[in-house]
Amino acid sequence: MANRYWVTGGTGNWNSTTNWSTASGGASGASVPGSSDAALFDASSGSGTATLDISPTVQTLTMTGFTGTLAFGTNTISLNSTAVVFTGATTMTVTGTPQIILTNSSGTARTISSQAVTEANSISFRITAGTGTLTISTNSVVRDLDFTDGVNPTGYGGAFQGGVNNVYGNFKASTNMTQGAFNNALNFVATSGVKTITTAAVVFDRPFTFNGVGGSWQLQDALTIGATRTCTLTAGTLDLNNFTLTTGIFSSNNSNTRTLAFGTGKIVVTGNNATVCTTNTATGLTVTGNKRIEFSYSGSTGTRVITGVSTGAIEGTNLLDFYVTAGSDIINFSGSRSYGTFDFSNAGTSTFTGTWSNASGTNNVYGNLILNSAMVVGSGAEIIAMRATSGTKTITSAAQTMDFPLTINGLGGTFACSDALTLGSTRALTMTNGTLQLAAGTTSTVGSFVTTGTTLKYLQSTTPGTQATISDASGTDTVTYLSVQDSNATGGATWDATSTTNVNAGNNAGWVFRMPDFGGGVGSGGTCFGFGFRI
Amino acid sequence: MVKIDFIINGFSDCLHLADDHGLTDAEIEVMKQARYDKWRDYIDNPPPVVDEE
Repeated sequence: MANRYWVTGGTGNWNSTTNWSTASGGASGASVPGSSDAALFDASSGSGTATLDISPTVQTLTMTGFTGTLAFGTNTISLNSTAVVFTGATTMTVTGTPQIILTNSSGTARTISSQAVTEANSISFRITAGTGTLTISTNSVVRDLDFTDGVNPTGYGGAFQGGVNNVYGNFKASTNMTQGAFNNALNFVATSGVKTITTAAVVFDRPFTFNGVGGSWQLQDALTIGATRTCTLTAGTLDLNNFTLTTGIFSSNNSNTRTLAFGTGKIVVTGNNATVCTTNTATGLTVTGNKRIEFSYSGSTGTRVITGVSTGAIEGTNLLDFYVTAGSDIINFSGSRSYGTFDFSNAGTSTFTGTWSNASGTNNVYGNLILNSAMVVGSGAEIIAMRATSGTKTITSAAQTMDFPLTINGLGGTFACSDALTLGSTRALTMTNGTLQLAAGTTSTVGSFVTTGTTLKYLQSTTPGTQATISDASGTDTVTYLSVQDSNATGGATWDATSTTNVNAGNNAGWVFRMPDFGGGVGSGGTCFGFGFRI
Repeated sequence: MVKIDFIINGFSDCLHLADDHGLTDAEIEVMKQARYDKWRDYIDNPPPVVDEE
């Protein structure tokens, strides 16, 4: 192998002997580097422009200390050797469509040391062959990173290594490569345009971070990240493009402008014994499409903490729906947060038999609350507040006792129970806003029934004309600003609806409503009691 | 490249094949199932953690 140094010469074209020397800063006139040579640019190469008038093949390319411009145009540079095949420089500029192709087909390791260049000066790499490891040096930056041969989904067939690497462009894995296990992240940091990510079923056992203000990344197939690794959306748009994103942990917890677009896709979280999902600060976060996150860990170890939104929650905009599909461990929803759906059933397919607990503080649920019959529902004083303000949300108890306070507080929302609702004997069912439809033909049991606030709320049955029974064993349940319809109140408690703010909307039993004042009898302004009369 | 989207048991993925792949429909179905099986196995049996750095 001969070294060829770029020196300032004539036209500035690559394919000109006037620009090459056998020594750094030496006399020009050496042969243009070929497939058996190393091409080197350095501080003695001047600050001019080296123009690729051909697409050369050399063994290696070194740019250390070069302060000029490498103008690719539409040409490429192929590197056919092993070891460190490319060394970049933060002092240089690139123009055109910069692409370097690594063609060595041996099993010997190769390294790209592209340095921490800017987005504008980043270079794309295609690795078309070889089975040795490929390392991109820590903190090195690339534009596109493509492991295919450009025609087939195959190409590079070795193990991709790497430190913390920033990718400004597209990422395309080959079907025959692998990814080693690494703590260091693959960072997607583009600040404009839509970049594509194709993983070809390779499991990436390293963290993925999407962090580019104005950037957008679109999956081209399913993305699977290791079970202990975190997928982080920091800034920009992550578009699942209807595909499945699988990751150990998912995190998007900041105030940056960012979008998580599901389409019909979903995120599957496989991690355990950790905070496996957090959107604690959701300021600036927009979620579109399915909004579906499944938790698939099937073991019994530890607690999976799911942290909803404490800052910046906007119903319909940035709340995710959580589906627990397996496991016999503990699921803990962080307290004083807002969530979309809590679903432990997954349409009847969930095998979750663990314990659901809630940390201290009221948790707001803006979606459905669906339990399964095999799980364990923890008890406590922490309130679950159903908060949807539009549409109909489902509450499914699955014969479980909810031994925690349950509040209905969604002005404009309807909350339909699909089966009998049973609260613990000391727990209150509180209605503040919205419509609660108890399951027709069933008996729901509460520790107490309470209303708060001065807006009219509605207690109904899921089937108009068919009563739903509500039972409380003792005491007096006094309600205000409540419209009651198709309700049979029973169990031993007194159901006091005598406030004039209540409405007897018909087909009720067991409720004590205020009778209309007929101006005589008991006396004007006096109170009569009646059962099932409408005022 | 030819892109073939598919969904198996809620797993949504895509095959990327060369334009002249020459595969039969049956072979493509096998590839889809293999992709799903690989994913399902990873979900059910994640490998032990072995960091290389």
